[in-house]
Amino acid sequence: MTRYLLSRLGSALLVTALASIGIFALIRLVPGDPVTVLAGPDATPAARDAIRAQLGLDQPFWSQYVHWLGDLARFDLGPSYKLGGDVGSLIADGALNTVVLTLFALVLAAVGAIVTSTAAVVGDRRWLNSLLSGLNTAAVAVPTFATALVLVLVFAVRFPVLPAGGTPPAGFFAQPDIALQYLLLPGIALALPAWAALTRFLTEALRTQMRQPYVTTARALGIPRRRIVLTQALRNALPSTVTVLGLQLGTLLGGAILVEAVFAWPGLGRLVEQGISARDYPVVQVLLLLSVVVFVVTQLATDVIHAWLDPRVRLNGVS
Amino acid sequence: MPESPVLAIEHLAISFAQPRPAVEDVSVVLERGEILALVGESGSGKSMTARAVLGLLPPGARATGSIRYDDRELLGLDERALDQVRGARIAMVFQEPQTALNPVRTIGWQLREALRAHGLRSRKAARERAIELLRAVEIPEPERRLDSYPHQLSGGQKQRVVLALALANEPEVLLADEPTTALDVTVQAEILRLLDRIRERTGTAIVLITHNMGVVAEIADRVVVLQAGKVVEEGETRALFAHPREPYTKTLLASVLRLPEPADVLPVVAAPAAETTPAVEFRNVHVRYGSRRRGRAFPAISDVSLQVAPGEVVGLVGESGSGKTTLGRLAAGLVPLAEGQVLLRGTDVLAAPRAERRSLRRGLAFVHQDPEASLDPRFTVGASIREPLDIHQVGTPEERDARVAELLDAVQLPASYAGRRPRELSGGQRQRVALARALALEPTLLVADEPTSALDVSVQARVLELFRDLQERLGFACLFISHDLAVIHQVADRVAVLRAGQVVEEGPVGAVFTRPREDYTRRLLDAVPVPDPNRRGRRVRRVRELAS
Repeated sequence: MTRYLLSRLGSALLVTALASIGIFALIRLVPGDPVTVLAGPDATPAARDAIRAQLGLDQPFWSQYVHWLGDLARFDLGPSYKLGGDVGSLIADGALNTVVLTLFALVLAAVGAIVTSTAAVVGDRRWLNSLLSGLNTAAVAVPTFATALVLVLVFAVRFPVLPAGGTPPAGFFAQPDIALQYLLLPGIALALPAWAALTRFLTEALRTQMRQPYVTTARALGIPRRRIVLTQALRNALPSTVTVLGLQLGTLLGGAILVEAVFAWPGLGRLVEQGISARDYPVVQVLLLLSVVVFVVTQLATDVIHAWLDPRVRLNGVS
Repeated sequence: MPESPVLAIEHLAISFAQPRPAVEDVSVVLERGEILALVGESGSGKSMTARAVLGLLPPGARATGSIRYDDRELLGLDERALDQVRGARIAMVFQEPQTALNPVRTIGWQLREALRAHGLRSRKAARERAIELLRAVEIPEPERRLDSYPHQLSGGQKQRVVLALALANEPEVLLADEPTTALDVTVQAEILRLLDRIRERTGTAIVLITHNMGVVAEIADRVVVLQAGKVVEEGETRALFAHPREPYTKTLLASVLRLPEPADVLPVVAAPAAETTPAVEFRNVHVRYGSRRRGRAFPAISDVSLQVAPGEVVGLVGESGSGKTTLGRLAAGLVPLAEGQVLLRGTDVLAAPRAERRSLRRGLAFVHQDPEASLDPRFTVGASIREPLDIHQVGTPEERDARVAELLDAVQLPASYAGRRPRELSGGQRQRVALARALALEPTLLVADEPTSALDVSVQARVLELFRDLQERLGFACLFISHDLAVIHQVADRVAVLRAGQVVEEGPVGAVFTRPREDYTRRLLDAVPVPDPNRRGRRVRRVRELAS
């Protein structure tokens, strides 16, 4: 197990290193550059060159990259170009908001998927299956910003029961009930596609499990079907679902950018969006790298959970 | 004394959307405390009949007729009412112990679930009862086993656990669907003994579904023979074996392969001339599985030396895990060799240059156990047989087509079958196709890994006959792997008995099977059920003696 983890750790580091190069190059390939944004359209070539030199953008690509890595290693994220202030403190300000929102959506998607798919398999009525599969397709097909806007229109404008946007004024932990009201709409908007994808996967996994011989054994013993689904099939279907859940985190991270924009949620997603618009390289680079790290760590964690859920892997170390 | 039967099935018919019904007309009566064998080949409807009793038919199946348990009609009951019967009154044991248990729950948990389903809620009482049950099915150290997961048990132990689950709520009827088919002969003998003892102790009536006449002779009181969804004959076991009335029953009994009696004097097969280069030779080979760095390497083959002369059929027998399949795969270079040498026609395969290795391997072919899995379902039969010819670019395309027709003819299939797909063929026909494909390149060595284990006895008999015939005609050498000693006796010239990766005994088949030198070989031979009810007691005693 430890050996397996160490080998996975090596590949995780490699992925992160490659991603950092990719991110660094990619943002420089985006048309427009920070010099134009900072100097304005009417600046003289001399002024532009001065700004370029000041930002270090006149250096060769690899020199800029190595410089950046050096700064990262010292946890010196440096000042932002345009957004104002230190990159580190910008991220620190938004991090909590985004972490709370994403985790809330993740839990919502996971719990929601378990509830809907077990209901579908336990109930196993034709109308229920068609209904769920229809809703499922809709939830995957409709883009996140559209569901977000519809949710705002319905629950904040037409029936003003929930706040239309912003974060809870007293913070998340002082008044959890108020915080929940603020989290609900952006959380649902963000969770919906992941919820639908997970439900589809888990339902199919449960159905496959219900065709396994051990389920026939259990049925022949007179154990009610509902109990077999809940205590046996679900337990067998979960390991592979955890892997999919880990992959869905990517959807959530991507979705956060749109959802935070719609709900005026001052998080990292909004910071990325502003950073890209302003070609604020230092901000965008670090944020994208951060999301890669989060994703890679999640993959590692899902592997560990997967192994731990399956006694054949846990006890024998074979996979 | 005419007591009412515990289970009465009358005019049961089961149909699917397909044209032919799975079960057409089956009436069976089970008396209290008896062991009734339901015999028939695949497709005869024996498993469906048993499943219908507990309402466990696959979706889409419709059953009509009547199934009465203690004068209570079971057919048409809803799930809730069936759950009261399942496990509590009538329980079922399945064929494949590897998959019949939930892999992620402990044995104790699964037993507790079975008890809980019929009212035993207290954890402490359930634990005690679970230990008692594991003891009843003769599992050593039951307290410790409660915390084990299924993958930590052997196949035989898993089947005992499945049996313990079925017996948890003291059912009056036990339906056992091929309970020993997936097990080694020695384990099979133990499980059969256990079933008999359970019947004696608890008075549970047992319906034993099997295709193995040896098993029937061993344990059943009465026999019902099914063919294509209908009962063709039934009777008391001894009488039925002595005087079968129906031709189908006679065929079934006649297709059972028998081992030679120790008294039979067999002519010693002349040993092949020693000077010829062997088709394959293993020289002190070792195979290890698992990582060697961690010191956990598991020796699958240890220090085996074996030769197969050209045109000779060498049988490899042994229990599961004895390394017989590994040795077969080693000949084809499909498993990494840890130590030793494998020589094909006198050339060390691994030391040979790439081009030569390729031509050496061209002379080698494989037939696998499961023809359903080894033929590509999207390929036509002709394309499957042609593939090796295409890969090695033998002749012109027209010549290849002609060769396919010739090969189909050799395995006694009409040339028109070339256009069919595997699913349109029966199991026996599929295995013939696999054989034709293996022979396409005129191999000097054929590795056949349990080629008839998935087939019915009557089909098996015909395929073996064909195999022998082809082997004599084409003269290829063969490594024939089987757990079935009677099959090996039928086809092999020499036999090597494997145990835990080592050859324990080797010699001409007749000699080894009639006068085994090793205890292990004797135990294997004794565990083979003999299709003769009159010899029941004798054999069991010997197995017990040898096991102790």
